[in-house]
Amino acid sequence: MNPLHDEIKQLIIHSLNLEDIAPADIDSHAALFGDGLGLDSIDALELGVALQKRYGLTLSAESEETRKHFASVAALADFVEANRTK
Amino acid sequence: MAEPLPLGALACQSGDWPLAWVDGRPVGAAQWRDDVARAAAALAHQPAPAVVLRQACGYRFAVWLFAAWHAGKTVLLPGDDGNALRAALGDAPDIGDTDWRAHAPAPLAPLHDARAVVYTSGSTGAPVGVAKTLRQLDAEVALLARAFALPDDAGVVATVPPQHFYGLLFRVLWPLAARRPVVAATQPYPEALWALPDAGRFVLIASPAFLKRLPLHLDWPALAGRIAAVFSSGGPLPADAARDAAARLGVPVREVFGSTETGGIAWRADPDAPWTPLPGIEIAQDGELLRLRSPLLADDGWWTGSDRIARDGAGFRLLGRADRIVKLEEKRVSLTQVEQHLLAQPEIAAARVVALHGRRAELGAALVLSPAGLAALAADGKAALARALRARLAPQLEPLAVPRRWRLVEALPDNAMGKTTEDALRALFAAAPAYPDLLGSVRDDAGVTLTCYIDAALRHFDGHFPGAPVLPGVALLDWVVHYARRHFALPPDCLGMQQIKFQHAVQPGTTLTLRLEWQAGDGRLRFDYRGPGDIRHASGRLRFGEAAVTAAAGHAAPPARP
Repeated sequence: MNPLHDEIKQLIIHSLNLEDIAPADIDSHAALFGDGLGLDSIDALELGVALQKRYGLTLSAESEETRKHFASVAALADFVEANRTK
Repeated sequence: MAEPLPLGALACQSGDWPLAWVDGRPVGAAQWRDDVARAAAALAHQPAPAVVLRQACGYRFAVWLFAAWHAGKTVLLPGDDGNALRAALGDAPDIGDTDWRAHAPAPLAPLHDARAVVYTSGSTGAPVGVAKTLRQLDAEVALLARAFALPDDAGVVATVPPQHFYGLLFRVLWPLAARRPVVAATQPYPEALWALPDAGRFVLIASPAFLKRLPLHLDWPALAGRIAAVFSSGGPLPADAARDAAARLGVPVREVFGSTETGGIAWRADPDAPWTPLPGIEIAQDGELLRLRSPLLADDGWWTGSDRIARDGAGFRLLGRADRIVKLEEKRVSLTQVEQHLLAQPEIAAARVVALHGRRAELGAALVLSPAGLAALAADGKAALARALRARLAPQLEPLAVPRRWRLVEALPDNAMGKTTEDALRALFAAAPAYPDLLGSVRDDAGVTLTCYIDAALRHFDGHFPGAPVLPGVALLDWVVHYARRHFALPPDCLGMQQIKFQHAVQPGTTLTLRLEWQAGDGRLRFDYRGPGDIRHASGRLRFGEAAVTAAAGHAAPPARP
């Protein structure tokens, strides 16, 4: 179990106020947006803000690269690992 | 039967006739007039201009209603007994049920004006108070007397409470004006029909909920000839239920279509026939939407509702309610459509969705599960069920229209008339909202008065301040603009504020009334927040207009658009 994966899952659930979803329900490699968790662009904004606050990241909204980082929990964890300032 | 008596003169008539059965005992009109006069004396010292009347006994209801009118009070009639409604009524005291017999009768003069406010759950949500004047109520009674010939000797028995508009008209005002005696107790169970007073025939004032549940095993032949007529109103009655009820009761069910806002609109005595407009009601269409002009409305303008109709001969057929459209994050979503998709799922027996405006706009779904749904719940839990439903709805609906919050309920919350109120639905989803619980709104010529409940869960209390929650003034100003835009066509820009005062801090658990008055002429929006005891919490004026576009842009910051 990757502790950063769990931390990010908690962050997603908390910042998006997701009901009926526990960290164990989120597959680290499943898509967060569209078919997977079913998150949408408004959630992406909320999540981006939460990530910036927690890890001191800088995200460029809407860019293709950002979209790639948001693909799954695992992708987000890699991105956080490489870019975190706190 | 003679013309109905004018309501304003009822308590000032002379003569005596059977007026009610109270606990099986007949009570005459003379006794009722004496009771009204004594109850009016009991109310005379109440300073409040409006009083709340809740009284399940039709006789006591009729006594207090006329007593309050003769004491010069506006009578507030709450449909249900929910928290939201209780708060919407604000400070108006409950008439309660004191013993009027201790008071000497007050002299009564005929009424020239009187007012009742009937509370109903509007299609958009919070309880709405609909004001009815004596003129409108007289017109309703006259119209019913004209439309429906009833045998002179028949009494009235009702399954619906007196404070809903249907009950108010059919079991209180019309019988009083027509000198027709009424069984005072509300009779929610069919068995009561075999225990009616031993006097002639009865007109049954029923709800669809009652008529749908007439048990086959009762001794219907023994009732033969005792039911003179049956009315059903307040909601739709399925055609099968109408036919079954007619067979059991021995008379056709006269369905009356109308609403608290409009009064009576149309009727029919055959569930397969189109609806016939009541005398004096003009029907038209706006697209598919029903439009009408009616002597029962406050003015003689055209009124457009949200029922879809198709013309059929001189009448019309009802096609259903217009889609309930809400705006979520600027996108229009049809709640009706989302509910249809939910109902197509095997796990779901009944569903209602509601727009939630919390952290973000989203839909909440209240579900009654089918046996298959209950089995899935038992096997996999609610979270798995919710995810499965979301996954199946996702290809069919826009992401925003897929419900995100799910509440499982035994039955959809509904009121005594069988309508699901948005208020009750919303209460299932309480989270940390940005706006207060809007408990009621009453429009008048000068503006609108909103009743708001300040819940401790409001997001504005978060950190403001720990241990000593106080609503920030900026939230009060935001709400002014938010609600004013709903009720008035404000220009786009807020140009400034004048005489803004925050007199008293607002704490959680308070019910506030927010008075908004828009003066289009000079672009001023006046607001006034009052709390219990008429304490003024905040007041002031905002100016609205088109912000001038500055040609030499760059240094002049434009006023913020709210």
